[in-house]
Amino acid sequence: MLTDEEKARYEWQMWTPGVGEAGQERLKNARVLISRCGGVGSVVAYELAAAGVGKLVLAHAGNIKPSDLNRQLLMTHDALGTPRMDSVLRRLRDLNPLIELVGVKENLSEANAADLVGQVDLVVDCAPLFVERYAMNDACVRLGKPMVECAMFDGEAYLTTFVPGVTGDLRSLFPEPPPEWKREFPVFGAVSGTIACMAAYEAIKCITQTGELLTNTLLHCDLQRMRFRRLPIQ
Amino acid sequence: MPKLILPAALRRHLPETVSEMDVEGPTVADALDELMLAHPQLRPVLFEGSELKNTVRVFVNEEDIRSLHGTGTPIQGNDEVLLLPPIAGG
Repeated sequence: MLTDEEKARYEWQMWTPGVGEAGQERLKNARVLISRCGGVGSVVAYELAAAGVGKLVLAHAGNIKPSDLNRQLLMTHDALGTPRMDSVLRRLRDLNPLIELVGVKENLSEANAADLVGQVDLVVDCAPLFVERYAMNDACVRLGKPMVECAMFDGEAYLTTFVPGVTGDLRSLFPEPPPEWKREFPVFGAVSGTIACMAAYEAIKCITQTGELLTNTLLHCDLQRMRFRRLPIQ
Repeated sequence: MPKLILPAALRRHLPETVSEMDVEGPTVADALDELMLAHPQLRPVLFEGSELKNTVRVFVNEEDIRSLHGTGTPIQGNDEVLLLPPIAGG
């Protein structure tokens, strides 16, 4: 049941056709893992916290560096040098104290993926390294959890939603990581934030059972040319 | 004339900004040969020996060539060949 405070807070989004109080209760009861909370994950976490997802499990290691601040919108200048996760939790609690937050000061790996994925209903993959993405993917496949897959480079981004039993997975889309991939990549926060908002809405649709998911479809967003392609994948 | 679309993740390997390239065809394989002639530095990114890497997805007019005729898929006219390598920026 939603409290009066929650009904007031989420009133405008509950007006979305198909959402209503039932959809908002689904959001309240939902548990989502986001890793990491960088340029994409910060904004995904912020939007899902704003939407009232009941429990967010957030994973990100390390301390805030100056080069984080052009895009990692949950990190703040005054917190430079301090743990990223402290800043993430503080900003999200400032926004929405009604939800539960679990902060993990580690990145996803094969060692912790099963435990972290096992705590949630849905994963949003925002990691900058393929080893982390594959670890999350493999745990999702084993545990039957959907995963919103979002990735970007320069002015372009990919978005799709994997649902075990309905779609393929990251390994069927891209069987191997490209050896030339580096953790550092060209990025404006406007680009990572754009794909993050789209990924967050994909998660919201999945949880509220509204709209159409990007299942078996890879959305290729070319923001430099504002061209969007819906590509069938299996 | 068909054209190859080169996404940012491939353009970064090129010395100048080339986002698309007109090609003759008449197949995807021929178009890729033209790309390798023009930009041989992309060969290790796209090919394993003489075979296109299985990590690179290729779409003709937004259809996966795996559901068409692979690299033998014919192209003509205003067809658009899109190459998508894996990316992981997050």
